[in-house]
Amino acid sequence: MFQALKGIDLTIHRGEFVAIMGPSGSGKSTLMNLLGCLDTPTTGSYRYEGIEVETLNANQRSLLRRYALGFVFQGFNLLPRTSALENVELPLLYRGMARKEREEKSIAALNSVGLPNKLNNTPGELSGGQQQRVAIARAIVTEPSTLFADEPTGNLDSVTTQDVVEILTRLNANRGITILLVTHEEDVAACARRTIVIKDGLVASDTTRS
Amino acid sequence: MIWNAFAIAVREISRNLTRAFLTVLGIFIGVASIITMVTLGEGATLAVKEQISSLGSNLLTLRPGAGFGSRGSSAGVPHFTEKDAVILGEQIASIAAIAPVRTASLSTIYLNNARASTITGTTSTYFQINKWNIAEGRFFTDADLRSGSAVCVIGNTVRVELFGTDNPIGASIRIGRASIEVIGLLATKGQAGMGDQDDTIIMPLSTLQRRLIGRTSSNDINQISISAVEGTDSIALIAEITQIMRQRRNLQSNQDNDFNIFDTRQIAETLGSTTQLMTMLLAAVAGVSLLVGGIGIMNIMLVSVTERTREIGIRLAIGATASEVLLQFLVEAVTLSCIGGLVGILLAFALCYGLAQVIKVPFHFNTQINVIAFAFSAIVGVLFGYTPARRAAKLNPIDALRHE
Repeated sequence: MFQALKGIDLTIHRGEFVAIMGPSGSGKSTLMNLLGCLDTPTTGSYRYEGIEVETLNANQRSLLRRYALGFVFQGFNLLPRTSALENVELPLLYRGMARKEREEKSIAALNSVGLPNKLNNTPGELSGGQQQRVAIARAIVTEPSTLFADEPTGNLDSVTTQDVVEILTRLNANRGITILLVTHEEDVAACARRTIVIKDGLVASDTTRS
Repeated sequence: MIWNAFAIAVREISRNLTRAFLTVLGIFIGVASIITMVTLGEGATLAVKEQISSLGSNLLTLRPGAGFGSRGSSAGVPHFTEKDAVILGEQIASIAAIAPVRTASLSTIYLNNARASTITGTTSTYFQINKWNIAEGRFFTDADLRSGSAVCVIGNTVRVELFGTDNPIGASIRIGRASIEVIGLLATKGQAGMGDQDDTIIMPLSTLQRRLIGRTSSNDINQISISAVEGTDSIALIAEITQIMRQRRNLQSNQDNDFNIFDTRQIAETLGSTTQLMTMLLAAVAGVSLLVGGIGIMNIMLVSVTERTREIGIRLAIGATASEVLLQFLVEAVTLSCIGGLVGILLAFALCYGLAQVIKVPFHFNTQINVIAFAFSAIVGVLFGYTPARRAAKLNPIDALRHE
């Protein structure tokens, strides 16, 4: 059996901004999916805020994602034919929040990513950069303690890449959200204080800027 | 949680109206066709039964000739006599009423209207045997029969053709060479399997014999109508009649019957089972169309499964539990199936109502088939809408997200 990760020993502290780098196929995305509870490891132990994640069932992992984690993907993963506002509202809907509060929070989130005028546009009517900003708004509208971003700038040009990096940096600095950012672009990784390089399923280097 | 799933499901349906429409279409065509076919088929069965029973339920008709088929010709076979009818009525206890019948086809004229009509000469028991009711005027009486009065009663078709909107009662029509007064109008019976029963003129047998066609022989009765006592075994009755008639017609034991007995109850049973078979055939055809509708739904669901698997992945990733996602898909499937089923039932109701009038069968709402069709459509919709979702919701979120 192919092992994407062979032995990773990591501790990430609350409020850190970590960039995970590595060549294609190094296992960096797998690492992030495991940390984000989107995938389950075959062996090993993972504690999130003291919770033994590998002992949780699928339902409990869903609830952990619902209340603590946010995701941004390379391919945006917005619901098609669904307005930006409704996409952002979705995680709040699963939290059972009342309609009015849901709308206020979603509008605020879209404002904070610089999209106050695109509430009713569907993904098809938005550019890549705008779609990714909607996805970020959806990830942060629940005020998660940790945000996972898997190659969030992989499909974007350099100008919009810069926008997204700025938004992430601001979220980490102002709101204290822990951010794990997977990327293979040096200048994107440069915004993080700590950079972990994965190679062949192992940690090759782990450096923290002072 | 249920309300939440319902809200999400309705939102999801409204977002993809084409998919929703195609799903509903598959269901409602299936439902509408099966209900329509079964309901109309049953209506036809009912109509046949009603018409047969309007002929008279225990009615037997004695005719000269060997019966149906190639040997059934009545040419050269002697007709019956009035005495035959009297003897049968006297000797067989299970005969409730008996009437000799002589028919003739003659031209009838009223003012400027002329047409050929079948004239029936008989006794007054004929009305009772054949379940005729009077709409206006009166039947003729035994006194009319004895004196051979120039009176007749007419069926509604004759009234319409000859009199139009005029009142026929008391008017005189010319039948053949004689002028006959109309004393009664019969209540309509409608179309039976064997032609328009209302196209008839009935008069005393003696009137027909003496005034219209003249009498050349006593063997001039071409039909004897018999009604049996309620609950009679018609096979035994037919045997008794056959025995007496063979005697009276001097048939040797090596000779076949030269008369036949037509039993309406047997005809009713045969026709009833034939139409029932038709209904079952129609139901089978409709069942196939329901199945085709189901396959249509399955196709729509399978085509959208990639998109929907990704959708499930997204929902799981942002924190929905598998059961919440499944509940949403279940509500979606149930909602679409129920809408399809209800629209199908309404359409079938309208179709049955309209078509029943066009093809002249009674419309009778069949609760059972409506429930069956609705339940089937709901099951098909839920099965095909829910099963792919169940598979997707069991995946790791990341595998659902990456589904191609």
